Amino acid sequence: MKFLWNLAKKNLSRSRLRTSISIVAIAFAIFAVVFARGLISGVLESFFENHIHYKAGHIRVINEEYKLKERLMSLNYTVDGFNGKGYSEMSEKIRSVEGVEQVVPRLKFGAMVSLEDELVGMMGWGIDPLEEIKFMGIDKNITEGRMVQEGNKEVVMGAGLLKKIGREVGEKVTILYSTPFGSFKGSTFQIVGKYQSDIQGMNDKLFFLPLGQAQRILEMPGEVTELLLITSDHHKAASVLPGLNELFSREDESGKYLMQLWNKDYELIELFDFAVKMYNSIYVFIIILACFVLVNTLIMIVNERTREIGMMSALGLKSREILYLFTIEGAIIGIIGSALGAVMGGIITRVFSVVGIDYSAAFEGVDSTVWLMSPIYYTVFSLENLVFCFTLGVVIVTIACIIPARKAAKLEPTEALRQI
Amino acid sequence: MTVERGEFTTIFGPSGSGKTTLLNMIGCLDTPSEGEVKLNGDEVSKLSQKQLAMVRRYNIGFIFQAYNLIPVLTAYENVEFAIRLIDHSKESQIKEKVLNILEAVGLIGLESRRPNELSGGEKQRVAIARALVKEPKLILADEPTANLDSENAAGVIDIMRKMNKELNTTFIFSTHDPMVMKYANRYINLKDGMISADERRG
Repeated sequence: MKFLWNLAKKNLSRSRLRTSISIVAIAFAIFAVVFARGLISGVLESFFENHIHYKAGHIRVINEEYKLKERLMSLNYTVDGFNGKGYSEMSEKIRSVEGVEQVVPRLKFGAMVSLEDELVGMMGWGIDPLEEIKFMGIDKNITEGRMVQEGNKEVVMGAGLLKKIGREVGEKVTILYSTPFGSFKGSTFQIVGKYQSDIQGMNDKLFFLPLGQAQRILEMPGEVTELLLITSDHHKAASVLPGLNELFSREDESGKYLMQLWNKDYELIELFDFAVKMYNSIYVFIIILACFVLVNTLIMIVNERTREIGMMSALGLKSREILYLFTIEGAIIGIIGSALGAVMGGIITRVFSVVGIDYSAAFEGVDSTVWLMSPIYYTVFSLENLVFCFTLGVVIVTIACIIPARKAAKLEPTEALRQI
Repeated sequence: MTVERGEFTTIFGPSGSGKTTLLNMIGCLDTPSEGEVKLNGDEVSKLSQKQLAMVRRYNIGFIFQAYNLIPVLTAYENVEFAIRLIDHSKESQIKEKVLNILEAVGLIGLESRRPNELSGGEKQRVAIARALVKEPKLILADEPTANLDSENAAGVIDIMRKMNKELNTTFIFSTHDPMVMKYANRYINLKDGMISADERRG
């Protein structure tokens, strides 16, 4: 069969321009797929990271009822520990479960600041500053001042929010809120830092205060709205669940707690899962489109070489060998095209993984507290992506080549020899 | 009609008389709609496509009017292509066989030329070498001299004749050139698909 390979290789030099066009078409398709996959991985990675940081952790422990009232920022369905003994003891016990590396408590509530002629809605997060620094490196986003410290009556506010309420770091702010018991209150805090997130919605709405302060003003000692559990690898977070279930069935009598995996129970994540599957079929479609060029070229080649095919039959080549010969010709184009496309795609993906692509304009008007989208995406460069796209290209191209190759193999030798 | 081993037979007749069809049927490229073709005693029409390909591969060599050489292969490679199909010996042995046959047809020195660098006569000699290299029992040549001038035509027929004597290969070739047919030791005349004359000469 080696001589068929050699012949196929030499045949490609018959019309260099035609061969080159086919190679370029395949290369372009593979390039597009490599880049698209790199970009989508980047978008997803960024979204997942934000989703984990701002919303879900790797596993989130909430009150089951809270799931339905979350968007209202309800304070009536909280995590108050096992049998009401407070979240601290619960955190300790959860931390002792194998695989759990960190437990991050948060108490999220709605609040307002009154300006002269308007009320500005805000989102308050009572946090454990040290845990948050460890978890999401929150201190890196403080562009002015410092992070809040436990015990102090102080807040860090989003840069957009500060601008909206016309305050600076160092000034004081009076925050209005309602407690779970329905009483409407106000408290004054020192602004000690400015928080700059790449998610515009967070910049414009979010402020942090020490968890103890939040519990005090809201009259919710020992309570948080959620506990975020962090493991060594979010892809393997599910493996921690059996240990957690065991702990909860042993310690918790109420059965009111819900453990949510970061990639389950969130509509958007499921939507992304669906989108990724859909994109995979689009990739295949792009390559098939490029294959039309190649299949067309090969059909022309088969027509041109009809007499030669007849001669090969006369020499005693079996139909399968003729099929093989033409399939190899297409496959070689597929291999060269896919390799070129993968290399080009790899280079561009690598460049944009450093430079990033700015989508700010596209996100104007989108509520980014819901979508958790960063406006600048960095493509993900991975060898796995290149190998995947190269293999996909070679496989699809080779399968597509079977169509013209079968046409060649099915030619009747006498008919073929009669061709002029 | 029966052709014996080692015969050098010409099929003569005007265009459309059925020369090519007859050769195709003898060469297992086509099967008859009526009657039968036996090769080495085997009924050809009872063989599958794959078996027919194997018969052609091992037993029959073809020489075409239009040479039908593969343009991207050199003279050497065109000949080598035919033997690679049946002979899986070492590279050196294949090379020896190919060069021997190229020498026999007078093409030594031209083996690395591609078909477009060869004259019509040289191309046809490559085609002969390609048919002969696997030492088939039967060689079928469909108007092998039709595209050649008389000098080259005579040269090609001489080589075929020489191979016929040296290797005892059976040759059946068609022609409508009266000059060529005088070389044959058996002469079959076709007219409207029927044999109108069958003569043997000493």
